[in-house]
Amino acid sequence: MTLLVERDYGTPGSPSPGLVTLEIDGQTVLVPEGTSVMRAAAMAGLDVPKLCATDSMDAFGSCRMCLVEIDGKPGTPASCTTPVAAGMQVSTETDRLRKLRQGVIELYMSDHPADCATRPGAADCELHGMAAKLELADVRYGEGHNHLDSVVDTSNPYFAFDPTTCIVCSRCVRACDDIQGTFALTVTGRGFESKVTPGTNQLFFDSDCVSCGACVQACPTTALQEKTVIEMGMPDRTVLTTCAYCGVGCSFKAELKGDQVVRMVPYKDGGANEGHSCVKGRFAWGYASHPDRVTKPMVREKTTDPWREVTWEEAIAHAADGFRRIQETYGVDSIGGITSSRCTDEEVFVVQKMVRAAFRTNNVDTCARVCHSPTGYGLSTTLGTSAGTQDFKSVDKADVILVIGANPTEAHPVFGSRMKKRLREGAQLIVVDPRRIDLVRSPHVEAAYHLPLQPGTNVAVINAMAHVVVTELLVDRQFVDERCEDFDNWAAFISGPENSPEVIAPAAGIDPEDLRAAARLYAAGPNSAIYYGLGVTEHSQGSTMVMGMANLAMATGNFGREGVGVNPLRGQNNVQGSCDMGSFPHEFSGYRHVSDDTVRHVFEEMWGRTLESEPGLRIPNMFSSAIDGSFRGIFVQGEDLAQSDPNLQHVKAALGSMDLVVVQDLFLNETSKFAHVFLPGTSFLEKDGTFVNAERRINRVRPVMSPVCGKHEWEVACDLSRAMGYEMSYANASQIMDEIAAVTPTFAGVSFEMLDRAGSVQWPCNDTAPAGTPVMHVDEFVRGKGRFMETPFVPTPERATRRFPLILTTGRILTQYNVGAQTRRTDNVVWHPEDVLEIHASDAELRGISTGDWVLLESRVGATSLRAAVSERMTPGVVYTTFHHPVTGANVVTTEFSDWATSCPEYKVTAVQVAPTSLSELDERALTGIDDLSAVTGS
Amino acid sequence: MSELTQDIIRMGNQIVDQFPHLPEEKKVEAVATHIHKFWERRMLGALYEHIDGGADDLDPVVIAAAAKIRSDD
Repeated sequence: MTLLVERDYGTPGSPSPGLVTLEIDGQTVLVPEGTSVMRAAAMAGLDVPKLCATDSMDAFGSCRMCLVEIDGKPGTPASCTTPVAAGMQVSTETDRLRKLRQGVIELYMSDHPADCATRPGAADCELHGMAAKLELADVRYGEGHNHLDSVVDTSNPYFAFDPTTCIVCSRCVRACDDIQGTFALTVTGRGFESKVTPGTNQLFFDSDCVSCGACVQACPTTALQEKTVIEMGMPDRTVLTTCAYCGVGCSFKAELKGDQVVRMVPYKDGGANEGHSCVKGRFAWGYASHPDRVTKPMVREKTTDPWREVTWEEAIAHAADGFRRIQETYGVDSIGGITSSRCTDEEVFVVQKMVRAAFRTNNVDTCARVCHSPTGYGLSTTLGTSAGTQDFKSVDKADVILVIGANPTEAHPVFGSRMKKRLREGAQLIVVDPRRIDLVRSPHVEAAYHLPLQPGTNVAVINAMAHVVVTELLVDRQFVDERCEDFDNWAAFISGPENSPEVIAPAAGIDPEDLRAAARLYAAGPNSAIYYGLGVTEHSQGSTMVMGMANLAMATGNFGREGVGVNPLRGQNNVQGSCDMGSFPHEFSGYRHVSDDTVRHVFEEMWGRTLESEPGLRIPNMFSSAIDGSFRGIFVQGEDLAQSDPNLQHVKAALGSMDLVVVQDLFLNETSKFAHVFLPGTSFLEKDGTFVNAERRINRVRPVMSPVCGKHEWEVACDLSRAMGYEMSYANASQIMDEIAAVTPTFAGVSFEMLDRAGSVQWPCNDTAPAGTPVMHVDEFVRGKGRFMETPFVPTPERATRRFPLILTTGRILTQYNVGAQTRRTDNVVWHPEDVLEIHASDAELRGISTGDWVLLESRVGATSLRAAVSERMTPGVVYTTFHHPVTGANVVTTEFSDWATSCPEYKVTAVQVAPTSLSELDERALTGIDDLSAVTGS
Repeated sequence: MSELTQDIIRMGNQIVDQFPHLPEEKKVEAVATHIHKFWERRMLGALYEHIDGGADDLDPVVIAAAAKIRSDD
């Protein structure tokens, strides 16, 4: 595709169902009521000149370029701020208008660098385009007072701000305010002194700017420009694809010059992001060409040997021989595989097929085990399917937003911006989180209630909210009677005094009156929506909590329409998809149990193999079986187990016990230290397939270049399967999706052709819902009746003790991503070069700790060191860190405790002690904890 | 004691803990259903072996659930 330039209609569309007929330049135009004259003209193919208007933001009316004449009206109103009216007759091109516009553009050009038109990004400059369109031949004004000696701000690693080309149209300021919601930019000064200013006369880097890129995208000149464009020049072609960071799944235009990516620009027609982006997706893609990329297969006999580059054939044969030997000696179930939520649906599907059909075992699991497996269990049990209920757009209709254990502005920033916009419009916010996350109070957003609960008491809190709803007679009886079952038993349970806010308050650390008020607010709605993250799932009662939230939403009738629902904010780009594809050891694609004969026979017929009817091992049980000696070989697709999984001593002991560890990844990582075969993987820029985001949206991932390692990951899985004696081959990724559709009812209507035509689609997509399903459970729940589940609160056994008196909880920050394999290899490290431990001032003072001090963080299973940051965001008794850097190894201290139903690790609750330390002292202790495997294996 | 046996003791007892509201018979049923649905055969083997060896660290409900799974199989 040549460079895709999206049409800019100047102002946003109107949602009004009513239509208005008017005439523009002699053309009859039919548009929704409330549409601007500018947009109506654009819809008729008539582009009114503009500079300050763009259709991603409300009209501003400052540049005076879009003036029009309207019969019967005096003057020349701005078409961007003038709404259409029935019978209106508009002229957009007259001599009078042309002269006015020429006068305006001439003034702009009189204070604009002469060489701007020859700069690398000049094609981005709408000002020059407009001057050419208006046939401005000359600027009559001589050199006078101007802004041409302004200093360029290059402080941001990804874009530069050149005030000399700025026309102070405020598009950047409004983008930062209205789209991103950060309010980092202002126009300071008046008249000639007006200028765009980050923060309080700061550099971009020093301001509150979060580098989302919205200002760069909005800028109509080259004042705000990507540094890659400045360095490489303008791109000349576009490939539409999907971001590979978080579960929002933003659509991007990968813009290239030849085979080189110049920039990633958010796609306006992207269903998930609608033209917005964050610092990771927009700018942090350089890792794909980082010199650390491993591009050739490698093998070694022992993990102490150096790696040896080999051909693909040798590497595959080495892996297959090893797996076969293990199975011959220790049985068919002595090996397994792990799929990755970073990979496409097609890659994941093929790997789980390889494990089930070629390895002939159900020992396949996925990294979703350690994040959202409780979502699958909880929502499936109560509602009938393992997925969130809404599309992202739904939040625009929410009146009350309940955010539990999620930090959208950091971890799902594009959706976080959308949520903040709705909050600025007046929706009420309840935040349930031990930390005072940014949403609790940020520019023009303030939570009505922040319930700073103690980690591990989620279920007590959600039960108490439901208790208030039931005992204060706030239940939506009609919804419950018509749509749900098992209500009476549940209502009797939840009404029990043990679930009252007053009883749970001491354990939860929440003011019971605040909790009651929050519950009443949620029940009042009328549209109340729950959004949650890993602060819900990564607990010993993660699945119970998911069911508890579903109970609360059912009791208040908050399902089956826009603005409501229970919505997981998935961590990785394809967590939903990897789960959909049958990555769990107990179920095939579409969440159907392996013991279901009818379902299994569908796969047996398709794959030509008898399949195992009993569930396989989950990841933690694979590790334990490895240490015991019954599980001896593993294929790891794109997951750094030895950094991301809990209780790393145990993980490393397990990996170190295996005879064969095969890692497929972009980079050598912590897990590959235990590997015998390394198979190079492909970055998202090389992948061809689909991702499924948190709203069940299936989006195409299109390659912008060939795999640098020479093979697609699904081809490698096919090669390994064949070498293991099972014939598996596809001509392309599209064929894999066709097979997925053939065996998975919720994907039955999906194909690459369909996605290329529709853009994206939300499953279920089949004969019943050929255009997909943005909102689920509309008339009835997937399981028929929504099922109330009794959810007694059972405190985690992981508790603060005299020796470990603090509770550690973990999370992510905006600029880094999970284990940091990608973002650490980009300029994002300038914002977050290391993990730090956030600690409340009182806990810090008690221990003599100041911000910047090195501290020892120790739990009953391990210790690590990092710097402290004293923070009022923390609740006393709770400390927090991220796990983006392997040198910190935060998961050295997390424990073996996990969700009772799914074994999802309890990352969010670890009893720890924090003490000041010196680096040298800590290094010694930490190394003992991390690397001495004999302490774990007993060997 | 093997790592997997330690796993199944912790997991089994934790599952039982989730059903304090159920009468004994339903509790056994719920635990048996869960284990049967999600546990791999060597985990079941470890469970049976541990029970056969005494298993004073297992909740009686887990033992009853294991007996139910065994008899159903």
